[in-house]
Amino acid sequence: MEYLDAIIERYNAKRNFLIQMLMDIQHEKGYIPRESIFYLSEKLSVPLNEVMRIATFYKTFSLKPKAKHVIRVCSGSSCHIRGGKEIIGRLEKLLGIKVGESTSDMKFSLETSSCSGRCANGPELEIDGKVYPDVRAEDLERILNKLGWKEKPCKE
Amino acid sequence: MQRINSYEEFVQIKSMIESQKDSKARIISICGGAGCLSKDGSNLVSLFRETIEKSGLSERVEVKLTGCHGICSFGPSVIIYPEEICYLKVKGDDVKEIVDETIVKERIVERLLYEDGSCGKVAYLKDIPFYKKQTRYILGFNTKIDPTSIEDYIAHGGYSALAKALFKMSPEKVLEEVKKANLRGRGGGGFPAGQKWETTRNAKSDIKYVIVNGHEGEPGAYMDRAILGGNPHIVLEGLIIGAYAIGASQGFIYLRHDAPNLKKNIETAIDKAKKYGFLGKNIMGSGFDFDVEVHLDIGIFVSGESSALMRSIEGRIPEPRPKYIRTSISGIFEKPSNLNNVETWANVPLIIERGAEWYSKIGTERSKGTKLISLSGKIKNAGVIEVPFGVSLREIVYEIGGGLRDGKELKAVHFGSAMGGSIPREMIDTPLDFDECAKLGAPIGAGGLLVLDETDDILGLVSYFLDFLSTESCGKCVPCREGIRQIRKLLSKIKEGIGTKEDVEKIKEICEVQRKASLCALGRSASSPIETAFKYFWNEFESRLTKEK
Repeated sequence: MEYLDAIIERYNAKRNFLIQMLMDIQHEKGYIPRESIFYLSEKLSVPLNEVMRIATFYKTFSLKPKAKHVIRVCSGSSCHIRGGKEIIGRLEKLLGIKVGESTSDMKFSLETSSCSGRCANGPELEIDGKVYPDVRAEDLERILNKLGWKEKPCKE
Repeated sequence: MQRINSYEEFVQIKSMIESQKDSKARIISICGGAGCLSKDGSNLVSLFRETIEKSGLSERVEVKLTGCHGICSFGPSVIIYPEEICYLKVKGDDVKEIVDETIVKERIVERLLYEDGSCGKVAYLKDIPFYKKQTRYILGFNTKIDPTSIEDYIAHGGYSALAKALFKMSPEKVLEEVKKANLRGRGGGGFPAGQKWETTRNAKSDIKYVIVNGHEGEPGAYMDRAILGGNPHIVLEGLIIGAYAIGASQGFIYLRHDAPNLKKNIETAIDKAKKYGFLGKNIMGSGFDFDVEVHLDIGIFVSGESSALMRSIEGRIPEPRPKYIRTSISGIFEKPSNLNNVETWANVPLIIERGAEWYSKIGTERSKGTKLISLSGKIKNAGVIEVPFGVSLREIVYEIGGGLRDGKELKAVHFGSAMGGSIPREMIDTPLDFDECAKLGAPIGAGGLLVLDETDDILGLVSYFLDFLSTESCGKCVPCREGIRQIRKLLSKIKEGIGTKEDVEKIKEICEVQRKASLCALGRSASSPIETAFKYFWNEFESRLTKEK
């Protein structure tokens, strides 16, 4: 719990910085570990349900660990009608997971992101911070292959 | 950098900066908008700098990473000053040729120019149809200034309006001017800014706040990021002027958390403004104190709603509250708080500098000035534009936007995102106007214009917006939380071909309840896309209803 103590201390254990602390945990660990919620609640004397409420209110916070590569598909309206919907469908099929899930080998997490404001690039996706503009469904296997994805026999 | 302590000192420093900037200087301006940066744009800056240095031209050529140039579909864009030659879709491999040809030999690289069937190849920015039809009072700075250089902004007239307001005008006169200009809020509601300012000004309190809403959560709206990223000082200047008129001593800038560059830019701007004495104690020696803090949202649409946003600044969950008492009277920490959108603030220096009389000549009778629009969807020239109110949607879509992609036919244009509506192509001659568009069921909102072609399904779009809203609703009030969910269910029945007329009636009933009984604007207008769709695209619903009872 050393990292948690450091984060709490960063904000002088003030409870109105609870959101910031959770953001720092998310940043450091990639998700909000279960024990950190209990720990914060105890150390800051904030009821557990209050911490849970914040941790589950924002989409940015994840209670589940994320995989090595996080794929985020823009779900803005423009990307949506320019083929983003098909991109999501294809990725779900290729990876065998739904949006919000991770592959069992913890190599890929699939997420959607709010409008990136790069609408002229749509449909677009971002993997580990790198942007892939004007993506077509047929490009996806190639992109995934480069990240160590191997096609598995389809379960359908 | 020297702190300014009087009006005279401002004039002195301004003319000193101006004399150092040569209007005929060679400048290579590289678009630093989000779209261009993701396509090699950031690479271009270092490549240009290296090549210029190798050619021994560093002394007489400046390479600048600017804000968004607007012409996103053709990015990355590079503009060469002083001629204003516009090169599009520039790649790393093109850099050497541009330097050798244009900078050294003063020749144009034809293959990188804009080209279309009607006008052939076009070299200069002012002649490109996309720019020709625009009125870029706010965005015009973007191609010319480096957002991290306050001197660039001052050299282009920046902070003159603030000096004028503080030394030549009383707070009452500033307020009067903004009211006379009839500046209306650009964030969605179109509420008169002057009236809002006056409410906060008249509220009794020792502390008052002013806030920049840069949350921009509407899908397809990215004009605020273009202003904040390209010219943060224009927003800051507007905010300081507003604070002076209102009598606020503290300001907040609320930003999206997912744009770290933006935050860095703004913090640099605040820092530099402080050093010059445009912010902090005793601004420019006028006796007026004002400071600004930057806050981030954590990624939920509803935190752009004014009362929710204020909660978030207090460090609490961004849930809206009923507004029996307006936030202008009781906002952050129960103090009078005036919130305006980024673009609204950016209009303020213009109004003060040139006067309400000049300003109110632009636009229509009830919508004054210009509006930034972000074009997206099936349009050829997607990007950010600025046009005076009153231009027709046809001009926006066809003349500036270049028409539709892939030779398709226009089906509808959608304004206002999840809280707006789609209007059919027959209505394309509607003028851009807060009230005219709202009357048709497509309120301008923040200004995101989504273009749909003949292959797009209206029911699909409506259910997309409902999906979006159902995950973004804060869940505090029942009409919004449950209403959206129930409409979604009924709509998917219709989409599957098993919906009935009764289902439609039920949707309409829920919409009415939502509109009347939701706590905030998100809930109240969540029904807008489907209601507008019923009005103009009823046949698409009707044809999918089941005939069985």
